[in-house]
Amino acid sequence: MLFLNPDFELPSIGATTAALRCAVREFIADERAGGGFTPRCDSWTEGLAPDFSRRLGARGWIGYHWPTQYGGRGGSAFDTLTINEELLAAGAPVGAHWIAARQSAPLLMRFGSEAQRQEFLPRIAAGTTYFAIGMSEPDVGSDLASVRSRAERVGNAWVLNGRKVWTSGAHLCHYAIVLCRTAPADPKARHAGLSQLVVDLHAKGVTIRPIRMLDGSHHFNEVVFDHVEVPDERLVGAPGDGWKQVTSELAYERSGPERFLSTMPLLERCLELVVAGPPAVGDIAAGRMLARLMTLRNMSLGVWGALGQGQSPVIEAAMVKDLGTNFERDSIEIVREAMVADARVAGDEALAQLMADALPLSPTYNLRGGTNEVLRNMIAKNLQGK
Amino acid sequence: MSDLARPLAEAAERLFTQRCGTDVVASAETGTWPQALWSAVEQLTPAQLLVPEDRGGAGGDWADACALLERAGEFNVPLPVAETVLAGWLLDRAGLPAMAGPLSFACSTIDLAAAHRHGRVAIDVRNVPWAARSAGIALVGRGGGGEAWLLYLPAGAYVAAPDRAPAGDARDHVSLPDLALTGPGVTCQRLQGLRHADVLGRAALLRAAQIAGACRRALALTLAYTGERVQFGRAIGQFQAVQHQLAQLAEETAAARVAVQAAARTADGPWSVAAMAAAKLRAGEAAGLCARIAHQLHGAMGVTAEHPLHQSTRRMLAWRDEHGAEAYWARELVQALRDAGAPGAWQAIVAATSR
Repeated sequence: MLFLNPDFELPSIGATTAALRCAVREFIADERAGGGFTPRCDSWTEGLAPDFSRRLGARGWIGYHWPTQYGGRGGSAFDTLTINEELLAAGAPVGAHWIAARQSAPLLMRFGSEAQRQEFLPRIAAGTTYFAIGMSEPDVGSDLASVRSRAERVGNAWVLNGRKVWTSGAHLCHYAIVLCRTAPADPKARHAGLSQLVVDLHAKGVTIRPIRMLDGSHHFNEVVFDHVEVPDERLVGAPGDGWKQVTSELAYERSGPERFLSTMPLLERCLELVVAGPPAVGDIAAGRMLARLMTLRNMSLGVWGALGQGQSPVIEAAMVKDLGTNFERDSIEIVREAMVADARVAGDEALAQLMADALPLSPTYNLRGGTNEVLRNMIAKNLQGK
Repeated sequence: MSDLARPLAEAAERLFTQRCGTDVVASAETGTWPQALWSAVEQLTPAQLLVPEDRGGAGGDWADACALLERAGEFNVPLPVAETVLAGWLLDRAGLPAMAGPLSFACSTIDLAAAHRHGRVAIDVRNVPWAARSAGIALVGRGGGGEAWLLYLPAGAYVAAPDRAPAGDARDHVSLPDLALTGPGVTCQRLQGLRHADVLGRAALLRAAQIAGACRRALALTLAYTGERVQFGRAIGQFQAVQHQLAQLAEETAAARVAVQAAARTADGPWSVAAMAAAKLRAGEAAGLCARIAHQLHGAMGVTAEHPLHQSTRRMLAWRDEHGAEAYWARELVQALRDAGAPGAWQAIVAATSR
């Protein structure tokens, strides 16, 4: 376990990423000034803006560290982290391309065929092609190995039947990477017989229905596959390798800075008011949040550094996600209290608006990408050497 | 980081494993000075650790010092290791010759600039670690503009009344109602290029490193105990309610370690105090949760004198309050943003974590 290892060393990225960070900040300032976006919390799930994604893609800021033949700019993993954390902290609407860039592309880079890489990665990098996650089902959540969606080999194609839920952004995505059974379930080897297919969401037999969020907003969907024909060349990796691949995909899904920066626009406004005012007892709550944020960023750098070196810091990422999403949840309550108790903060309309947008969906922080309970199970088993 | 951290940490771990068992710690808590352990610690040359090589020191940096203190914290070493490191650093910064340890250290708010002008000073400082057993005290005070001043008192220049912190380590009372600064070996001078906040921050950082070490030990003890203790026919570590707390204990320990390492590697500059503030604050928060979880999972056994858990938990909780508790550093952290005229919180966070 990296963080508990006496030899663990934090990476330093300040010097190498400074120029890029400046450029991203300038872009964000220009976008805000020109009405390109209004900051909001949770912008990586709620901010679905294909135009914005295309503008980022045109600058090369999606998949910046991918090889150039796949649409990347051959930068470092820390360059991409820099771009992502600046966009998230600013509350920019990165939701349209987020999942494709975060996990679909790395999955295809690692396990996909050369043809798949050439077909999809440049379009993801351009910010024009979006992917959805095809993992959860009506009866399948944390226990992912029990998926019931099935694909059968018929000629040169797979015929897919099943149902996926909580599919963020499927209504504007072009593809989903669907985890399904391609061999009957074996109770003695639950993880065997699973495969991943790249499914065209506009194909015949695909039905997408919205699942409204509790505040009426729409990013969840139900996606039904009724005898959907998927060409053989859309199988990712080998048949039966789905579990190994999806585990790797989850590591990408869990390791990013969006797991502690979802409420940063809210905190930014609150802390701006606190810092602009005179010292007061409310500095204590603000300082505590700052220390947690600084530590989370440092831990996140550690995870990202290990990923960049080809390691698979699954447990470390789970730790950062548990700590980070608890921080997000707590930050809402801490700001709420400041809005009443701290005269420097009370009555600010911009803050009230950010809070009104963030609060209803804050229960999702500890659920998405694996519940905190599942993460703690993983961490404990690792500690116990199981 | 210099190349010192790993060999230093390994040497410290070997030495503490051999010579700082829980019996040595328990004996020290009754007032016995662990001379054999100190003789062994001296081989690690703590007083010279932060002295540059061209002045006869080991040329270590704060990451090296934190590596040493994390090990000391892990083994509850009942000696002024942090204090000797800090005193050695300050003596060198003041251009004074190195002193043989053990050395004590205290960071006070005494106006030493005024004392220097008058040639006399009144001192009444409590909780001075092992002052009665030390060869000298590096007592830091401040001048009018927030600059750091050093008053070095050799053993002959003071009498300390032995006392003990709740944690069990010596925290003595130094009371000198009218001390002439002309006594033999007594020095009072400004520490050029150091602010009072820098010195307090460094002292806090080393305490945070000790806390991180104590959390590591509490995690190891708790993992072992929950793997052995059987109830309802199985080890309690098999229960999910227990496993989730183990995960949190590990997360908090990890957070404390990372916060300490980040601050240790932050160069002196506009953001170093912010990084040290975050380290002491975050380690303090971790200590609170780690002690709570470790005791909860040890049940009644963990609150007995016989079980060694309390050696770690009493210390980690007491260390939270030394050199600035969480609330103190929280306010300093916000003030650091105010002083820097930071354009925004996120930009400040990036600056203070970029090293």
